Amino acid sequence: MKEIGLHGRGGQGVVTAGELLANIYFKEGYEVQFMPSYGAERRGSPSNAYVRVDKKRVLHRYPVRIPDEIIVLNVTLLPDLALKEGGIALLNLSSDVGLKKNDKVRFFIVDVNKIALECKLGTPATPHVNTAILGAYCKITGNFSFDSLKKVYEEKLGKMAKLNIEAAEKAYDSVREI
Amino acid sequence: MKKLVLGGNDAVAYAVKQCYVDVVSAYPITPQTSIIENIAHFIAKGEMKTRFIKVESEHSAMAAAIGSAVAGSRVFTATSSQGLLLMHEMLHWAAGLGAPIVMANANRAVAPPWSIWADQVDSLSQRDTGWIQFYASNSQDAYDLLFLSFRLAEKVKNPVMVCMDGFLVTHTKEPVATFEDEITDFIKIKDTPVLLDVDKPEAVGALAFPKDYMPVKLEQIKRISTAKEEFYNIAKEFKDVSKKEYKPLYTYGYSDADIVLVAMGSNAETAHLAIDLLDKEGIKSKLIKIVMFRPFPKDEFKKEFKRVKKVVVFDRNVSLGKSGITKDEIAGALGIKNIIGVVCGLGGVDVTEVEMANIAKDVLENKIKEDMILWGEK
Repeated sequence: MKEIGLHGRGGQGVVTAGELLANIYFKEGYEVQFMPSYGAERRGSPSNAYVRVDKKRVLHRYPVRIPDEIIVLNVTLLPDLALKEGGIALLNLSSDVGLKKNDKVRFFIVDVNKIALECKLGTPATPHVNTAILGAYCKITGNFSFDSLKKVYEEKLGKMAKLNIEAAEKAYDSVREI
Repeated sequence: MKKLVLGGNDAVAYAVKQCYVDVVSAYPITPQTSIIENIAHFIAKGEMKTRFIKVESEHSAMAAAIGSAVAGSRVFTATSSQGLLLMHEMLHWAAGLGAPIVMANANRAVAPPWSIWADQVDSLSQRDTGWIQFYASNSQDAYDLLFLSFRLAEKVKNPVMVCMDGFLVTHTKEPVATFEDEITDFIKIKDTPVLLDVDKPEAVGALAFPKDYMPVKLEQIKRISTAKEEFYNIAKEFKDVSKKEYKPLYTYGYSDADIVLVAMGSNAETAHLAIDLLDKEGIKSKLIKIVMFRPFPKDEFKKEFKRVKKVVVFDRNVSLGKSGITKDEIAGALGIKNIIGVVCGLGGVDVTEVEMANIAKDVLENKIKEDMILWGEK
């Protein structure tokens, strides 16, 4: 079983990203479970969502403790996040200057704030970075085809699908390991 | 059948859309709100031909539901926690009048302190109102039980509550096999009684002196006591369409188990993993998941407990001053001694398969001899 943590702040679209990700894996034939972690929902407060992916039905009814992979929409949360050794951390970041790295996990960065605004998703105060970053996730993990992502966006996002797919493509092309 | 990724709330709303419901009257409350939001959305888009009654409280929501039901409508409502408690008086009315209402309840802790997370005290403290109660432990259960509930409620003339642990079932999304047209024949059968007819004015629920009150209650006792047999009949019909079997108790694991784990709601999902863990250690165990809590499936428990040495019951609820509620019900109904109750997960605290398996082992080895509360550093 693969466990994925999605972490951001209220308004960035963490819950939607988790649901889209679960649907993409489902489209690829996996059993999935999407578990948002709810609290006092408000803009700016930490927001977490978890996706479990497996070949057989997922039965765990509690949030993921230590994910295999994390997708971090706001890096100020990074010091408090758990990640398995050998895991993958995908960060919304324009440069790795000042990032405390370690050799136990692999770090990837992508500037989805910039990409979201280029694609007119959200506002400069709250760019909607959730759909773009899944494009980067698709590239670095190779766990599903970009075509599955595209199909799920088309099904779930209606008229907005085109811009979100465009953002995901840009993130796919620009994500890099550091 | 078509598989969709749905949470418990999505699944319930989707089922309501397919159940030819005439009236929905409801008031929003976390973590139930997305059920009635989804329904309102379906109605606004013209996908459901249902009258949505907006009300100012849960008490009124149930009152409107009762009014609609006694006029012969198929009625749905949904609530949670504080909202369910506010309905309490009306719950007795619904059951007493035999109004076949179906209600979804998102199990949420009761204040104080204020909480929005999973805990079953809200619905379990309505156990004596005369409602049939089901507990779903995943989205598929929630979806399927809705269809079964409408048919059962109308067959026995008794309201039905379908409960789901808040967030752990209501908001946790997973693949659900949904019906297309194949369920139409099953669910189109409407058997809603018309107790009040404007052309023949009369009243229901008038004052009854003691000699009249008791016979009315005897009728009600008889009604709900037939619910289990009728459930078997309706579930058989349902199985022909869905290929899925529903029974008052669901079991998983060894039939000749040395220890039985009993759970209801979300804990019953995680408990599957505990059975698998125990199996790896060479311990034969079995899970009993309570699907139907009222009427209480006493005979089914008796059958399942034959030759069982030890029983451990995990309750995400507590009757203060007594024990976990389902543990107390099981022990009381069966008069058995080797049963340990574990109160756990109150107000949404995680309960893991490792904790469950460790407790089961300790019970089996006589290290745990009394009821306990699972709480500590995780």
